[in-house]
Amino acid sequence: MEKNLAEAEKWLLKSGGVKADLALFDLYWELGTEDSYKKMINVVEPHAKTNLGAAKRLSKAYSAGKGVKKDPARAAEIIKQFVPGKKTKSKPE
Amino acid sequence: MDSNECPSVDIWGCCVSRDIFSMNQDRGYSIGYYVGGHSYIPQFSAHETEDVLPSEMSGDSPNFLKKSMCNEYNKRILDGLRSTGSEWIIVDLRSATYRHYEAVFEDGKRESFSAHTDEFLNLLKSALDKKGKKYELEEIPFSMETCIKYMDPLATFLKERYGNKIILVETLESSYRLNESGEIHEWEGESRLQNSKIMRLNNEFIKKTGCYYIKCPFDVLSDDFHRWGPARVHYVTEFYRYALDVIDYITKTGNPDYREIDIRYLECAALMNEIRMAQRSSVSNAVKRVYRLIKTDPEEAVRVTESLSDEDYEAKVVSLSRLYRFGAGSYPRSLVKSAEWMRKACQCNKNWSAELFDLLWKIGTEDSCREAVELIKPLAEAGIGIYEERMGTAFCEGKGVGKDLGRSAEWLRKAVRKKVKTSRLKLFDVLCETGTEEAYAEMIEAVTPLSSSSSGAMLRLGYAYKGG
Repeated sequence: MEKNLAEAEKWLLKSGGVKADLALFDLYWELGTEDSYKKMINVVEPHAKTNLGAAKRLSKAYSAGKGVKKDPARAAEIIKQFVPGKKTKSKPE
Repeated sequence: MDSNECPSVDIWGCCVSRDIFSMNQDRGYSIGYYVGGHSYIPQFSAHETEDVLPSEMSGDSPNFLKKSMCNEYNKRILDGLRSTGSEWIIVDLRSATYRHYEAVFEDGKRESFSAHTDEFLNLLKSALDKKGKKYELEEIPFSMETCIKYMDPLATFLKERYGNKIILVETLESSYRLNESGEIHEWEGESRLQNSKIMRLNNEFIKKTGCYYIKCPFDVLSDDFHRWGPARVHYVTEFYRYALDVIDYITKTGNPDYREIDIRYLECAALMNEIRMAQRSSVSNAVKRVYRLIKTDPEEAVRVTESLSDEDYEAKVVSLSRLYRFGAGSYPRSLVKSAEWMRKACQCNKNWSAELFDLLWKIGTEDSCREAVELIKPLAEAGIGIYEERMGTAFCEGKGVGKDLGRSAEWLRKAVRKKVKTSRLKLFDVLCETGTEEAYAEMIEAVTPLSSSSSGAMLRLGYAYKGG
């Protein structure tokens, strides 16, 4: 199968759900346009308080200043809520 | 047919014939075409209108209902049955007693339809509206004469298509029902005349086809806990077990002996009377009652379980397993103890093997996973789809057996052929992990048929296009 980001976007939007939204984030990141960065934030923001994968992605966007204003403090804050203690490592995705 | 090969069947009837297969644990039957709730009469009458497509029918009905009504409307049910390649057909004639209509067109031509629910009737009307000819729809009262007249072409078709591999299921309306507290109540209204119609139709059908016959006990009980809710023909699980046992016996032995079928009938009839007279519980009714109580009133769940008598051994051990599985009252949550009781349930009836497998899998130790695989291996080898899928999972995860993606894919392909619900998605994941060009091509084929209905399939197609 040929790589086809437009087709991928179509199927992921149809699918819905957290997993599809995380994949959409990655896809929009890869597309790399101003418009796709905006969409990328919209798909993960609703999950960022409950899903570590979404939080990591949103944090990455704040660190890089893509789709949002660059804000390292906010990037750290988003991840912090998933770290209950110093010794606890977040689960790899 | 090879003795290990599973029989393939088509079903033409009401929910009873379907539920014989869906309410029992899968026994490896391959269902070709289920014609649900459509009378045979319109299929042998003139088709005066243009064909309609599911997309042309208005309303919010699910697509499978629209397709089903299209086959009725376009008179395509016989074509559908011709195309399946199934060896056997399971028939019941209840749908001949459903509502019939005739559309009378302005040119005087008439066309016959059946539509047993308001939803089907609305789909029928939307199809007729779409086709532009002016019509009036008349409801046609039941006529035994018409039913018998059209039974001749039905019998000819079925004998040509299936030979002597025709099984008729008697579908009597129950007079009594088990409610959700396990108490017996009488249905309001009379069912004797309806049952008399069914008996006369069956009588004619047997004479015309020489088919095998699965009798329904006169005292058959219905169960308010039935998956599809309370109805006179939503029976207790004991009926479905009996009917599938008889179907097994007929399809898997070359020359069935009617005395053996009668013995099974008498056992089922005796069970119905014993449940009716509160001498014992119906297994699924008791098990579901306890399961519901575990969530809403655990103390009562314990009381009901402990009050089950020796006659209800199967229901009791399943309920004890579930008390331990979820934890209730004096039964602390313990998967190990839950599995102990479920092993006893499996000795009563292999239907519980899937639940025991899932418990052992959840325990997750090397020993429990090995036991889980050993438990289901013979069932998977007998061609039962849900166990084939679990074997695929075991080989994929490398639990209870060595990890082997090739063998995992082999089992999952078998499960896909049996239409096991999630097997296509699992096959996609295994082939994706396999990672060869061939595997990638096959993984797309595996999920494409689900691409309009399953979000899991859409997600996987999205991943595939994204990764190329």
